[in-house]
Order: sequence, then structure tokens, then C-alpha cells
Amino acid sequence: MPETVAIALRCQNFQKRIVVFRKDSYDEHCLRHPELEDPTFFPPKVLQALKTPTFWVKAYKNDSICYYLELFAINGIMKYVKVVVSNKSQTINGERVYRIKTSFKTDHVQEQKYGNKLHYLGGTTL
Amino acid sequence: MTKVNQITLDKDKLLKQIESLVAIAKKDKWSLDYDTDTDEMTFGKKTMPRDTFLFNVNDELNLFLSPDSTINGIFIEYFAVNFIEHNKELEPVLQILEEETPTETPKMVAHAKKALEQELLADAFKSLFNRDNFVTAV
Repeated sequence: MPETVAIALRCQNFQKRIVVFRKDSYDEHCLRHPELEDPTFFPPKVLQALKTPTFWVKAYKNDSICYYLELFAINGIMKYVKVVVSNKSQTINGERVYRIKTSFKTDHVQEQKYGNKLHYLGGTTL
Repeated sequence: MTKVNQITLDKDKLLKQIESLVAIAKKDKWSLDYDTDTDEMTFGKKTMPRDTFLFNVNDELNLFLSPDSTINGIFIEYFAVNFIEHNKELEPVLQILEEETPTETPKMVAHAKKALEQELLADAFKSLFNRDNFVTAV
């Protein structure tokens, strides 16, 4: 019987996809992105980025989707939650899911620098 | 409501740290890590301090900073498909970081890693030196 994979977060995103953050991956990314250990950030802001992102954008030259939630914009300073999710489903714990690769707070949209289109909820594309 | 603290980073302190970053990296035992899953490269403390935040420096580099302008590391997204594409001479470093069997000798491996560190530091210094705005928010 396959071993059960520990899950740090599981939710259905706005695209009706089941998205999970494996516990082992979450623990690893906490080392680089300590905001993941802040209970005001994870899981609430990450969940919000998946359910009602400000926009989403395809990753540059790989099979991921990046979901961005604008946290604030003050005096020209932007801060986002970024959640990178694999665009290929896989089976985890007997369920077909999409895996979160990483998540962190950032002050810019890297994919925009490569000309990738931003898709806003409600259909506007820039 | 998200609580926001606007802070002005200390440019002189940042530049001084970049100038002596090799010594800082050695003292704080920075590690060079590459995540093949996300194509992200991190050169910095193994465990980032709690108050660490990302600060974008240029089209490729981000710094891990503390609010007192302490540099905790360097972070690059799209390391293989973008950064290395613009720095082809550093391709051997990518092979090493991906843990493929290198054809180079250990001496060449150490040299390649050092070349990456020097490239990152030079890039970070130039970008910070030319920057005017050091206001950010956490």
C-alpha cells in the first residue's frame, strides 16, 4: 500500500483545480521564504491567491502557472503573494491534483519581463 | 487589513556589504542551491532569518534583506532559462548545481562556482550603485 503523502495545504482554486502543497516541499521552502511560517501569510494569503488571484501568468519556458495576489500598493511600491503551481496534474494520495512548487512574497512580476501576458480575473488580459 | 511598514534601505550599508560579500558569505556559511523544480537559484544563508524579505535589484537579481539592510542572500528566478542564457560561460556551474556528473576536475568545479559568485556580486553592486530609490515596504 503506497505511503500517504503529508499535505500542508489543499484547496480548490478558481479554475476548479485541486491544488496541494506537499508538507516536505513546504518545509523546504520555509527555509528560503520565512513568510511561509507566518500564520497571517500561510495559509490565508496563499489560499486567497489561489481562489481569487489579482492575476495569473504562465511561467517562463516551463510548465507552471504563477498566481499573483496584490497585497498592497503604496507610493509606487507593490507587494504580491506569488504561488507557483505545476500545470500538469499528478496523483497524490489517490487524488488527481496540481502541485504547488513554491510560494513567497515578492515586489515585482518576473514573468512580465519576458512579455508573458497577465490574465486578470474577469477576463482582462494585458 | 495588511499592516504595511515603509522603510528606506541604507544604500551605503548595502554597497559595503556587497563589496565584502565573499567574506560575509564565508563567515555566515552561505550555500549555493539550485532548485530544478522551480528553476530558482539561491546563494545565501541556509535558513533565512524571520524578518527576511525579497528586494528586486534588476531584471534578474533579487536580494534577501532584513529591514536593517542586512543582506542575507541572493535569489534568481528562471536561473537556467534566463540568467545562464545571458551568461553562457557559467553553464558548467548549472551542470554542477543540477548534480549531473561533471566532466570537469574538482579544481575546475570550484573555479566555476567562484566565477558565479563573482558574476552575482558584480551584477548586484552595479545595479545597487546605479539605483536611486531604496524605499520599500514590508
